[in-house]
Order: sequence, then C-alpha cells, then structure tokens
Amino acid sequence: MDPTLLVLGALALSGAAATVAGCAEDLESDVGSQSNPNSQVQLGPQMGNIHRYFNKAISGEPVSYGLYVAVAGAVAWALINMGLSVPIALVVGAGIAAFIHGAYAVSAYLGRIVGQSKNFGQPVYMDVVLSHLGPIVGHGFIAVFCMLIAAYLATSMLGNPFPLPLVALIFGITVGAIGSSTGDVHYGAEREYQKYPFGGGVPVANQGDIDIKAETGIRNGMDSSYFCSKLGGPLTGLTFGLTVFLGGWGDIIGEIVGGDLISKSVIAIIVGIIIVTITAYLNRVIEVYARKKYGPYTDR
Amino acid sequence: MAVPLVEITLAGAIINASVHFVPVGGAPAAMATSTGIGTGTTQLAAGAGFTGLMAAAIMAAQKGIVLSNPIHLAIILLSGAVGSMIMLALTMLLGQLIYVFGVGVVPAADKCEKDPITGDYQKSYITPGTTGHAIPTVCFISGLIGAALGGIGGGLAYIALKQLGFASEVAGIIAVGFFFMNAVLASYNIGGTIEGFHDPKFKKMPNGIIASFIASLLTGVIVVGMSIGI
Amino acid sequence: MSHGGGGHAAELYPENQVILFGAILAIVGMYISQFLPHVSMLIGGLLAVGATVAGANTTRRVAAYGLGTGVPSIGMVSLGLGVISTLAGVLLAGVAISQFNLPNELLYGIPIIVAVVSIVLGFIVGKLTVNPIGMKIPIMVESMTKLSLMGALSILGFCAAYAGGFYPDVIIGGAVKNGIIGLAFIAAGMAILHPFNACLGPNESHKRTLLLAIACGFITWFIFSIVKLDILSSVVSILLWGIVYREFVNQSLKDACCVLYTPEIPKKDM
Repeated sequence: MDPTLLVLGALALSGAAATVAGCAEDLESDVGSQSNPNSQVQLGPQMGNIHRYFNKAISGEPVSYGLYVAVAGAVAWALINMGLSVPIALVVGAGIAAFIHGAYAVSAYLGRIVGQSKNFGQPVYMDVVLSHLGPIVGHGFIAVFCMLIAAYLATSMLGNPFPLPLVALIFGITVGAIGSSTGDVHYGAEREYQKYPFGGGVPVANQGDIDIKAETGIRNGMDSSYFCSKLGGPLTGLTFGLTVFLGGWGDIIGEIVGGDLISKSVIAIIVGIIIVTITAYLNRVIEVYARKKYGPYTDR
Repeated sequence: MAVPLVEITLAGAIINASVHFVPVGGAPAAMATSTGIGTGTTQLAAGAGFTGLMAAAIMAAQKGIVLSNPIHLAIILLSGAVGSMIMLALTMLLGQLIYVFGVGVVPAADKCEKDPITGDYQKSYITPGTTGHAIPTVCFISGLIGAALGGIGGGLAYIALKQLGFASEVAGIIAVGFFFMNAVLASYNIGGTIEGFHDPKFKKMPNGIIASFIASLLTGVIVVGMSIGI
Repeated sequence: MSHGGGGHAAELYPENQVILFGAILAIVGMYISQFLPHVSMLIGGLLAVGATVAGANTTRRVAAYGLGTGVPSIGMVSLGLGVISTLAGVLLAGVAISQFNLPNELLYGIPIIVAVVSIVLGFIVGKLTVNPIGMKIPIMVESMTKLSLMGALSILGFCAAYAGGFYPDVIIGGAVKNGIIGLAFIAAGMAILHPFNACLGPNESHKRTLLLAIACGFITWFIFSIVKLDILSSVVSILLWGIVYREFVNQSLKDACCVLYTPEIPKKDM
C-alpha cells in the first residue's frame, strides 16, 4: 500500500484517539475535581460550605497524566517486548495505570479533607470516595488507553524517534496541559458557581462560595461531569484531537505535493502557519461577537 | 564543542523568555477571575514546549537531515515553533469558546486600558471584582510568540544535544529535564499569573533570563563534558 | 495548580536525619543493584524508596511556605535537575576514565559522583531562585539542594534497580535508551511531590504525610517491578504498599472530625 496513505490513516486514527482521550480526561477531572478549579473546593469548607465534592489534589493534571500514561506506556512496552500482542499489552498497561490512578486519588481525597477537617468541620464522606472512584478510574482508563494508542502509533508509524515510554510521558503531559486549560474552565467558572447568574467571572469576594446543592439533593462530582459533558469535555477532546491531527497534517500535504526534503518541510511549516493564522482570526471573531452580544458593564 | 554549548545556553534563555509571553492566569483564570489561560505557568509551557520538541525531533529524524547544515537547522527549529504554536493556538481558541459560550464573559485584559493590537477598550467589559477574563487578542498574540519561542528553545536544546553525539533517546530525556528546569525558574520569576507582553510583570523578564542563562551555561558545561566520551 | 501554604505542623523526625537516612539507604540500594543484579529490583528498588520519602519530607518543609505556583513545580524542577545530574554522573565517570586514564574502579563511585553533581546543580539553581529571581523563602537554597539530591538519587536508584547496575553501559542501554528513565522522572517526581500536596492544610500532620510518602514510594517501586516483569518484587511491593496505605487510611479516618457514610450535611453549630 502507498506509505503516504498508511501514514494518513495512522494520523486520522491517532487524532480520533486523542479526541476521545481529551474528552475523557476532562470529564474525569470534573468528577474528581482536580487541577485549578479544585482550589475552590479546597476553599469551600473555610467559607462555611461543607461539601460533598471529591477533592482529587494528586497534583496538576499535566504531571498526573504524565504519570499514568508513562506507567501505561512502560508496562505496555515491557509486555510487547515479552511477545504479547499489541492490543492486549496496551489494555493491560492502561489497566495498571488505572490502579495507580485510583490509589493516588483516594490518598489525595483523604489527605486534603482530613487536612482541614477539624478546623472547618468538613467530614470525610466515605460514600463519596466509594461511589466516585469508579467513574474517576473508568474515565481515566479511557483517556490513558486512547493516549497510549496515539503514542504507539507515533512511535511505530509516524516517525517519532523516541521510545514508547518517553513518548507516552510527553503525550500525557500534553493532554493534561490541554485538559486543565480548556475544559476545566467550564467546571470552575460555571459549574461550581451556578447559583450566580450566567455571564460574568467569579469576583474574588465570592471565591470559595461554591454550590453545595444540586438540581436535586446535595451536589457531588458526578453531577458536574454530566453538566460539563455538554461543552467542556467535547471541546477539550476537540482541542487535543486537532492538535495531534493538524500537527501532522502539514507533513502529509508536504508529502503529497512532493519535491525534495527542504521544499516538503517548508510547505509543512507554511501550512502550520496558515492554521495558526486562521485560529488567531477565529479568536478575534469570537471576541468581537462576545463584545457585541454581551456589551460592556454600564452600571458602575 | 563551543557551538552546542552556546546553543544550550541560548536555548535555556529562550525557554525562560517564552514562558513570560504565555498568558496564564493560574487558578484564578479557571474561575474567570483573571485574564489568561486557566492553568499553571510551568505545565502549560511544558505542554506546548514538548509538542514543539516532538515536532523538532520528528523533523530531525527524517532521512537526509544534516544537523550541521544551517538551512536544515532552521527548518527543524521552525517545525518545533509551528508545532508549539498549533498546540497553544488551539488551546487558547477552544478555551475562548468555553469562556464566551460556557461562562458568558467577554474577553478582557486588565493590565491595559486599550488592547494594543485591536485598540478595543477593555476596562468596561471586566466583571466587577475580577481582574479580567478569557483571552483577548493581545494575549492570544503574546501566547503565540511564547509558544514559538518555547518550540524553538526546546528544539534548539535537542539539536545541541544531538550535535554533541547523544542518541535521540538520551537527548530527548535531557531536553525534557532541561526544559522543566528553565520553565520552573521562569514561573518562579512570574510568581503565578501573567497576561502577556503588556503586563507590568513582563518587565521582570531579564531576571528570569539571567537565571536561566547561568543555569543553562552550567548545564551546558556538564553536558559537553559528558559528551566527550561518546 | 493547588495551593501552597498550610502552616507548619510539628515534625516527628528532624529533616536532616530523614535526608541522611534516605540518602544512605538509596546509595546502599544502588550498590546492591550493581553487585547482586538478580535481586536488584527486590532490594535496590526497596531501598530507592528511601530517597523519595526523604524528598517528600523536604517538599513538605519548603512548600509549607507557599511557593506561589503550587507544590508540583518544585517537584518537577528537582526531578529535572535530578535527571540531568544522573546522566551527568554516569557519563562523566566514563569520560574521566577514558580521557584522563583514571583507574576503572572510579566506576564504583558513580552514585557518589551523581550525588555531588546534583548537590552542586541544586545549590546553584537554588541560589538563582533567590537572586536574581527573588523568592522570599528562607530555606529555598537548602531545600533546592536537598531536593535535587533526592531527585537524582531516586532516579538513579530506580533506574539501577531496573537495569541491574549503575555502570554507564548498563544504565544507558538498560534504562535510558528504552525511555524507562522518563518513567523514573515522573513516577519518582510524583512520589516526592504528592504526599505534601495531598495532605496540606491547617490540620496537616507529619505522621500522615510521612505514611503517605512511604506508601507512594512503595507504589513507585511496584510500578518498576511490574515494568521489569519481576513477579516476586511486584508481590512484595504491593503487599508492603497495602500495609502502609491501610495504615494511612486508618490514621486519616481517626484524625477526621467525623466520618460519614450517607449523604447528609452536618448541622452547623458554629
């Protein structure tokens, strides 16, 4: 088969895997409340809001996802070397990573809650730990497994010179960085503060005054992932999928247009710059739209 | 020997500078309480920088690339820069979508009266009690510059290590450690949040660059020493 | 990012004692990995845990001041320095032998060389964070030095346990070219930064943080045992992890103001 076609297929597959991974990663961090928005969950009890959120302060998402995907990648690499078939090795690797994830998640919850329990009267909810652990580890498994597919394709098909564990580490850090900078905003700025009217940031004075009541009953992390799956999760997935896909797209165009190495690479770079210019333009369009639609504050 | 040493030292300084350009709001930005991307400085810079590092490494691994050829060198660095820029541009664009449609805020910078690029007034669009939110054009452009520098810095460190004769795998892991070292130095210099090149904190950048320059020079000397045996 | 800060609870053991103990354990572990390669993961891996525990203990001390960028940042810089010094120590020993005709026995000193390089690198980078950058933490230089040392020792410890020795050809071929050092970077980093990042708060206690640090060290050892496909070490490490982790959970539940199993919010009586 034409090698360009194979590379195109691998790129499409890894783009798709990355999309699913990004989405699952964001929803996982919403169930568990990780990364930046978690500062509010941490602040809640201090402001008198006894809550039933999970408090998954393992570390920032890039570091923790770097760990899970690197563990999965290293285990999978070891099993592939042992002669196990690739799909099974990837699944087992992601499974071990899920176990590690679960262990760190529980210790983060207990550590953070007990660390402020006596002063602010925040109880440890064991039912929250037990009920949330499944969705956290499950979403994490999907994210890690998909990242691992992308990393495996990168080393085996897309000409990445690094070994699988190292590529897995770097991909994990990247997915964590993207997940914590896109989707988490939806959780932090909107879901945690839904009792305030839509439209507007959270003033410093209101920080820590998080929602503790849900649509019915008491709010917990699973409600958040349901809410964020409407916008934050899919957009996170899209960001990462597009990053992987468009990042390799330029090379494919260069390959198709052909020519020597220099001209191919220059075409790839130009395509990349065009993509970046288009995003800058779209960003401006959205900005102008928001300025027109929402307008300035006039009452001060 | 001398060329890679200079390259590593420069790479460290460039990486440090790049972090100052990326508009990160830290934890407050995730609540739309301050302008910028809602995550930590180091981690986002690392995410973008490593994407660039990978792009540069893939380009450097292509058949027919000669590391001593300046044109090839430029192509590798530009590939790294473009890889980082695509990653950060998409992150900012889709983050912006969430800010505008999911949170309902207008992108507004707090550290300038008027956006220096578009000339739009900012202050009246800021939610009272916050220090701006989302990613106005000036932050977006600043972020793109930062990403490009990050990709160039990561790529340059990687190339220097390759020129010294390290295998790709060894060069890759040293570059990762090297990148983290410089990015964290920069983020300590920033101290949490920065909006971009129009932020008054940006003026602190020389301190960070000096720190990275010295640390990278030292690392460079060690790395060059290591390479003698290869 | 998570909050730094959280005040200083009383220390169970003085920090320097933990550092010394951890460093000695880790270095002894490397020699065992080198000279008894068939038990490198079982004993070398176990002793490398000493370095991550000591690192976590230092993280607790420095991060309690509040770094402004979260606890993880200092873990990452220490491991970044650690990975550079590990490779430097391993390769510099080889260079010294081939270029300066030093005796081959110098290779036995690799763990010491790695420690020295990491201390120097950590000290200088620590100085740089104070001046010109201007961090206002009084123990910054000292802590960066210690963290850099512990980062390097834990990386070399786990890599030597994985590869079965610390000789340049063993480490480079057995743990660097295959990317396992990347895993050591992040897994040891997590074991160093997670315990305090998880336990911080006004009611933080040294006992819980240390218990968690030990548990995190054991789970890192478990990760490496699995990757090495070493069944005995995997079983031993997961059992030890289970014991310590259980202890951590019990201690946490004992220290909590109350433990509930039902969705109810306690009535405020404040």
